[in-house]
Amino acid sequence: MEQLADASRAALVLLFTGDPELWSIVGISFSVSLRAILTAAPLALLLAFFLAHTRFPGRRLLVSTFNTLLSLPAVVVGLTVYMLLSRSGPLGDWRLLFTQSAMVIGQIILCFPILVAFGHAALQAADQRAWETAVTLGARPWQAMLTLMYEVRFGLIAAVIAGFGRVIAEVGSSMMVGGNILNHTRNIPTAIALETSKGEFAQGIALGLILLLAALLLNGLLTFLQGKGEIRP
Amino acid sequence: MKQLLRLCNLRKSVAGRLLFDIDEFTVPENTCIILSGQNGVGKTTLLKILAGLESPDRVDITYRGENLSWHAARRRFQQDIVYLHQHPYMFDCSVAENIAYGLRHARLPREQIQARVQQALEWAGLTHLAGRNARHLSGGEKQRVALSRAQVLVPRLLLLDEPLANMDQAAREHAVFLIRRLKSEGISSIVTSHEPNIATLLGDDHRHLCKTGPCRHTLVIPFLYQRNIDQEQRMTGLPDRPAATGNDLGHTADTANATPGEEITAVILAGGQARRMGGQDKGLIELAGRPMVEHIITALAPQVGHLLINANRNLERYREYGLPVIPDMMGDFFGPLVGMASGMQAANTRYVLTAPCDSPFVPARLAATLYDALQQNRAEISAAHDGQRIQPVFALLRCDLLPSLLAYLENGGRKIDTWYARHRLALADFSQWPDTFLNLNTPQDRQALERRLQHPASATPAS
Repeated sequence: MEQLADASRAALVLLFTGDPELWSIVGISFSVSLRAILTAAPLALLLAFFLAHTRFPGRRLLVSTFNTLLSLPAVVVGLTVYMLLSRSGPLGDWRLLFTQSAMVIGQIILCFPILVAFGHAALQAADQRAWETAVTLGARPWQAMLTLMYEVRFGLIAAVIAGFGRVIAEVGSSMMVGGNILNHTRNIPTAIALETSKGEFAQGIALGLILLLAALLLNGLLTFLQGKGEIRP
Repeated sequence: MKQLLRLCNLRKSVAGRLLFDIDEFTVPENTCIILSGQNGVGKTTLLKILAGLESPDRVDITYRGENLSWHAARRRFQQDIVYLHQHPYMFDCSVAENIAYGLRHARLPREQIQARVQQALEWAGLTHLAGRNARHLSGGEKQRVALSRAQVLVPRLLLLDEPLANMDQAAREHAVFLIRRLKSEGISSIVTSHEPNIATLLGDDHRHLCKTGPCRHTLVIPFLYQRNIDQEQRMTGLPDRPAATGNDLGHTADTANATPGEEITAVILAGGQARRMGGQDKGLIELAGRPMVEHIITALAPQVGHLLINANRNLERYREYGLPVIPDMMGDFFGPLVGMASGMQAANTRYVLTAPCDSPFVPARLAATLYDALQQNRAEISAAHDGQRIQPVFALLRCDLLPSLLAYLENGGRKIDTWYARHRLALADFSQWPDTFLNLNTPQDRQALERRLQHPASATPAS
């Protein structure tokens, strides 16, 4: 217990003295995860819309598939992407293994099912009249789609935040395809894993605190946005 | 009148079940059409097809003089026609932004949008609510936002699904006022409603979507009752008045010189189910070579100014007589009171006279006797009395009783006697003409009536 208290105190010192190595790790973490979520979100939400608002054979199977993929283990994604990108793999020529791009690819795969499943749930709950009203007032289908997404925006934002929460904290995929290279592919989770294995708890705890702080900020933002979206009579 | 839209052979199934199959539906320009019909008959679906929100199984469309495929028509409908939900959907933004929604998609310049939104806000009396979130409004206010959100686009046709449901009196009046105003601005509309009196508030024209068979729905035009057309049709459409039937009871002499026949519309009640006759359409059962309804038309035509037939089946057959044919305004064979109410609504006269379609021996002084009793007793209703009991279906009623009758029907009342009891009732003595009340309830009756018709000598006194 005393060890934990000491380490926490050291962690706070690290945070507030602006240790450059620590902030480089934080920067890489956010940069990779933001790129992943921003790439995945438009496509995933579009797919969620089609799953919610069109009828085609195999639609329900697809919905169940995405719900199942919610529990996809990060290490399995890491393994798969590793095999694809490794020199002998089918995409080996891209020479992406142990780069940030490889981490982005892994994280896209990880957050995609979350965005689709949660986005689908939000869009499915949208009022059918919203779509009809938009169309009858002369909106083109894509404009009506954007209107509908705006109407359920809180649900969609929640999906994006959940997706981001997953990728910012995952360690399995980043470790395997990024390689945990300092100032290049070392992000918060992989750094924590490394420091812990070295017995350097202070830096691990400092990074953990940053992750928690990020989560707090995101949720605070969501609550703030939804402030106007409470259930109304 | 110029035609805006015409749909032919419109079929729509939902979940494999045929919902309706409409031969023809036309919408003239500059008209407010009331569309009535029972729940589940497909009124909303019909409107959604017209708005391009749902696709029919098949349809032939003529829109503004052009024959269009459904694919082409659908986009035009979505642009030119606005559908308003029964409970309008408000986008989660301010009232002004809601009204601007359609204009923004029309890519108008910002200043123009603002000006038109401002006008629309004033039009609907919403200026003070412009900045409020539209979702926080009351039902009546939402309806007004929806109306002005549509009006601002100047649609060719506005489809209003139950616009007056669930509103208090003030909100209704405001909505009715706005809908009327839309018409004066040249916007045609179709309004569905369960309220029987909405036609008098709004409509120029009334269509009734009804079920005329196990799965076939037709759209009929019941309330196109125009006096001049009617008169013309009566001249040409009525069967010749033969001396052999109907008037052979010896009362032809003075056909009611004191009776203001012009002020009476006779409503022939042929809308029953005729369960005891195995569900045959009584009015069309032949008696002495002519359908029952023809006998009574012949008997009533000289007595009154106007004639209507209330029927719920075989409407085409009934229309052959050139008379307006009116289906029940509500319900599925709810009984003669609904037929009476439908007739009262359609009639343009002070009084309606009702008689069943299956009584071929109506005396020539039916209208006069009922009218005299009404006048003498200063009554609102006069009903025939055969000496033993009241025969309530033979009656003369003042048309201004319609609201009372509708209120009674809406509260679930179906019994003629109970409703009559609410008003000043005069009984007209028909004991000298007992044959009046001979009618057709069983196949045996038909033979008896036929014999009576061929041997009028044995007619009196009644058995």
